[in-house]
Amino acid sequence: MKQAILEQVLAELRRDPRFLACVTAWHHFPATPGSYLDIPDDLHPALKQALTRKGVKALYSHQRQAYDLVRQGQHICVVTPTASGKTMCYNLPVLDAILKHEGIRALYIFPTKALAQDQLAEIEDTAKQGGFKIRGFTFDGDTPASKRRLARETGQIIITNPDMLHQAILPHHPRWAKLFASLKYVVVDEMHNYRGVFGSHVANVFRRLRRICSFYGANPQFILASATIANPKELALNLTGEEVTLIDQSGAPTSEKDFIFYDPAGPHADNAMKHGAITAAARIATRFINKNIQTLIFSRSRMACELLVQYLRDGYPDQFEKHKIQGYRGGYLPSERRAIEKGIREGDIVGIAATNALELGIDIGGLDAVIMAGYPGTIASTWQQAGRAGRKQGKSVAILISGGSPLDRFIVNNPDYFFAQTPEYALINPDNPYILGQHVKCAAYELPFSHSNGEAPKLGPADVEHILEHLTEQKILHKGPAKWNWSSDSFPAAGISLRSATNENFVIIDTTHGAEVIGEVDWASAPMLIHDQAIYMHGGQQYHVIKLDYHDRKAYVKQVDVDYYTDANLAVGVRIMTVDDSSQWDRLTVNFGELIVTALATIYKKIKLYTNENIGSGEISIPEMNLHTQGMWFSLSGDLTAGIDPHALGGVLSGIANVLLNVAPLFLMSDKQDLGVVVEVRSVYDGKPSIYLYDSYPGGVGLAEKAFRMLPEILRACLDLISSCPCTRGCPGCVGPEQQVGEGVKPLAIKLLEAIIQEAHLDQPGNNREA
Amino acid sequence: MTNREIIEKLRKRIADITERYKARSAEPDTAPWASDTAAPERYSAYPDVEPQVIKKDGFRIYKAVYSPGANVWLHPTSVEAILRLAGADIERLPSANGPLFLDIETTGLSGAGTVAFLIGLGKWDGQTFRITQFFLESRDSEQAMLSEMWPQIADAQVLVSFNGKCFDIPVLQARLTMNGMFHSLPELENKLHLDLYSVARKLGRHPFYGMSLQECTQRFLGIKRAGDIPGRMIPALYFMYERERDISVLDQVFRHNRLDILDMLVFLKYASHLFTQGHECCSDPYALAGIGRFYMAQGELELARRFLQAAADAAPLPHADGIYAHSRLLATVLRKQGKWQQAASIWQALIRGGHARYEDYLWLARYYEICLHDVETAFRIVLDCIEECKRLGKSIPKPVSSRKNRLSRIISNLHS
Repeated sequence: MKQAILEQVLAELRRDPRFLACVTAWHHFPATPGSYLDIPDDLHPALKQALTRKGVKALYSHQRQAYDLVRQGQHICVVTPTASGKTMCYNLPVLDAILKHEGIRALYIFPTKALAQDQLAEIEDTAKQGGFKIRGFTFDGDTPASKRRLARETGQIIITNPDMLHQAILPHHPRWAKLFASLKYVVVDEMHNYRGVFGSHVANVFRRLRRICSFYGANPQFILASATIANPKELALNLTGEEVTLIDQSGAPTSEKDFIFYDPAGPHADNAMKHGAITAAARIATRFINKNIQTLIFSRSRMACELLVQYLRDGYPDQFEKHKIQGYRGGYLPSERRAIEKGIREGDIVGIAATNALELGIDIGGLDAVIMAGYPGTIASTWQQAGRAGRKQGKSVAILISGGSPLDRFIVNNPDYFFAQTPEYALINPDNPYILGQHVKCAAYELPFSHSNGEAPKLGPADVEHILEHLTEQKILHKGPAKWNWSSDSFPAAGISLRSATNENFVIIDTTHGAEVIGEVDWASAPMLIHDQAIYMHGGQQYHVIKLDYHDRKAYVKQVDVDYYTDANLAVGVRIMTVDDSSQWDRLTVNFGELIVTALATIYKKIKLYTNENIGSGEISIPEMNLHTQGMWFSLSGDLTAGIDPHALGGVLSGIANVLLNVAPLFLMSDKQDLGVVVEVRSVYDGKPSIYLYDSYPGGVGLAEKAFRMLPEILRACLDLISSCPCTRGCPGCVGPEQQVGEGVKPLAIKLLEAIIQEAHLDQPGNNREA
Repeated sequence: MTNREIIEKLRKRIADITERYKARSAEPDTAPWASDTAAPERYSAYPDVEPQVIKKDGFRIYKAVYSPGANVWLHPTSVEAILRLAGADIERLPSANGPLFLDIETTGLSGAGTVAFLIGLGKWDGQTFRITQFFLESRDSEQAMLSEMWPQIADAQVLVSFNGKCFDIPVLQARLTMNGMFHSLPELENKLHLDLYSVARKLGRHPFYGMSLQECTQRFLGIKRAGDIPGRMIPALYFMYERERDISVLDQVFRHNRLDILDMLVFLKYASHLFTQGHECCSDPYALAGIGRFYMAQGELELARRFLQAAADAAPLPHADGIYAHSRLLATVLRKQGKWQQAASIWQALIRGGHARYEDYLWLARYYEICLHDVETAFRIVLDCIEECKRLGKSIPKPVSSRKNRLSRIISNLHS
């Protein structure tokens, strides 16, 4: 029935000339049958019963493969699409092992607390169906003290996150002796999250984990699961230090799916408005939702998500059923989120406007339609979001709508580029001295490194003797006759965070009736979203921010009903603190040093709903946010840029910065998100055109420093990339789309890069650097 | 107001604050009742003794022997007293084998990197009190030291510590684990354990004192340690010793550890004395009320009454709200004992003094209604309560308004 309606809507769209005028691609993916294998004979009877009760008669081939390989003692990594039953790949062998040997224990690691809760519910449900008991516990910041003790003493499955493992479990491993002594399986889901600097931290946490396990005589098997990335086997090896067997052939059937690319500006590129994607998404989504087709709309910001809720509710015909449309994003209270997830699963909610908070493996089942309001930013997450569409049977549709940004418009208007592109690489560098050094400190606290056995001390494969000697000089360690002993009354893990963002949040207090906490906003977004006089939107309701108490991290709001929203401007700048190293030529200087990257919310605009008219503005007075970090920067003399039209110069610099941002992560084994770039046509520091590349981590993590040392290689790679890029006028893979950097930038950028390389004598092989 | 007036006013305020600050620093640093009746013989005068040193491979054992002589505070405490102090914490009866006092010095607060480099154990052997300290000279010998120390703990029937449940025992467990002595863990876990910190908490928080062992012995026995080092310096001293290998930097630490164990002994003795006879000799209202509260929870109403009465009599601080809580508690005990009239006089006193809560009004009203069958007075008391709430600008609590309604119905029934 529903299927027929979906077919009908799609047929209508196919006949609608106004819709078709904006469609740049309409790909049809036929259904593929599933590949099934028998439930293993030796599976514990209780689990067989649980499967029967859940209506599972056979396993998907990848699930059976995972079971068999784990039984053979192999480390595995499962990479199959969204909603292909990945959870079963680890739950089946782990639960089976525990049922057969009660003493066996397993550690599950998820990137977020919410996922841990879902996972525990799933395990408990399986146990209930199978009529057996399993002692599973989540262990995170919310776990009460009484439960913590129970988890340590009796937990067979502990579900936690890398941060807890780093700060609460490993440094207190004697309390967890029972877990470590019997630890047989370590399950790591959402492995693709562990890339770049965060992934490098997590890899070191796993090195510490394996070190502690071996102290207790355990050698656990790793079971990893990941969304699609270009290099899962390599990432798994670098994360865990183990060769894994890859399972990437999904046995799950896929339903028939249409994938539509849509550019709301249509052939008239000039009228691409900032929020074009949102109004277009609302318009298209309404066609599905009003026919009762469950539709999920992804947007890129919380603001866009809330606007969509509002637009969709306005467009929903039944005034009394508006709760059938909900928002889902970071900042909602956990209970609110759980209720929405349940509503989606049970079909009570028809329209969901979400941010990528829903992209991670939160279980909401498959939906009929997914609409992406704006390009999600990477090939991999586009496929992941599109993968939310598709039930076990029947047809589904995914629509990618271009936002106003040049990158969006490029992707949507060049669908072949998208479909031919492999997903991104997930790179990590666990041996980054900054990151390794911090974890050696933690490891030395957890278990002293020994030097009496004649072997060089190692953390994982990394030789760490020089780090231990350095810590000894700093009097953090003391080198005794046999071991390096911890010699400071500090707790090292407390001062080391695996993530760049602070977890400090602002709470939103609704004072309409009394005072009620309705949600939270992270520290970095607060100046944009909850400054005084802002319109803050939550669950489709508008609130006026009466007062932002910046010091106490609270925002007081009142419910309002107005026809505008607010949008704040953020001014980003760079201040140079120190120049620690420098390479100078006649017309070019490349520096490395400490920078402060500043972000200041300056003014906000009041923007009318639907029409996006600017109907007023105001000033924001919130302290500037500073990122004190390390960076490297080029400062170019006038001669070098002489041939370039001053008006085009900014675009050329941006183009080169964009190339740098695409190339540098490959050399630094990091992620694009770990780095930032800023360009200045006239630097405040020396008045020269400058390009800055910096670490997006407080204090820096040595990325820009390494980039400075590898400058010749990186610059040559940049030039290779632009020169060999098949695009004619720029694309996201090189200097950026023409609309972003300006016309004719590509050849100018090639010329300037060549000039830089020549100036620094990098064109002569073997001559990499001047003193 | 002119500028001059404003400045004048500000000056006066500053002078006031300075005056008040001076007055506060002039206050005695002990409470008026500290050590007044409690400790006839000064424990602080008790000399520390020079311990005997036994050198082992990588660790040392220090043995100090104390003969208590006439100092009653250093005599053993009876098993019954320990049981009483532990309240519900100890269910099984220990044998005659006396308690083992335990205190450790460590390199930090918690975590796998925290090492107990000094483990002090105190025990009675009939005539004398012996303190044995195990000192870790080289961290490589930790397992040997723990093995040598373990039989003493294994033998003991009851452990006595100060905050050992949260600190000493978990740290020891971690050290045993890290040295592969897994077999010892269940035994340590299940050992009977009197944590004097919980006793100190039963004696009530006090505005002048914290809850550390030293603050407790100062509060109750007036003991002030001379020449002792602060606990937070101890890890740094051990690290210094490890680098310089000069053991004399740790002399103070060894002494600190012995004094802590002696303090525990004295505090245990004094606490058991307080719990039995405190209502006759102690004048610290916080401690008395704390003990009263403890007996109340144990269901020992008569003991509770005696201590709460003593607390109410001793209450010298008119501004401390805690005192009224004690009176209120006493009224509750009296009521439970059926002594309504005495309880009523307390509620009346609270109302007269303007310290009553609405519950006090309601209890007094119940007393008039149920015991004296005087519904009219009961009604008047509830009205007074409402009046008082209005005066203070508070909303009328639900139990008050419903009682008022009920009483007014009864009265109108009586009149009709």
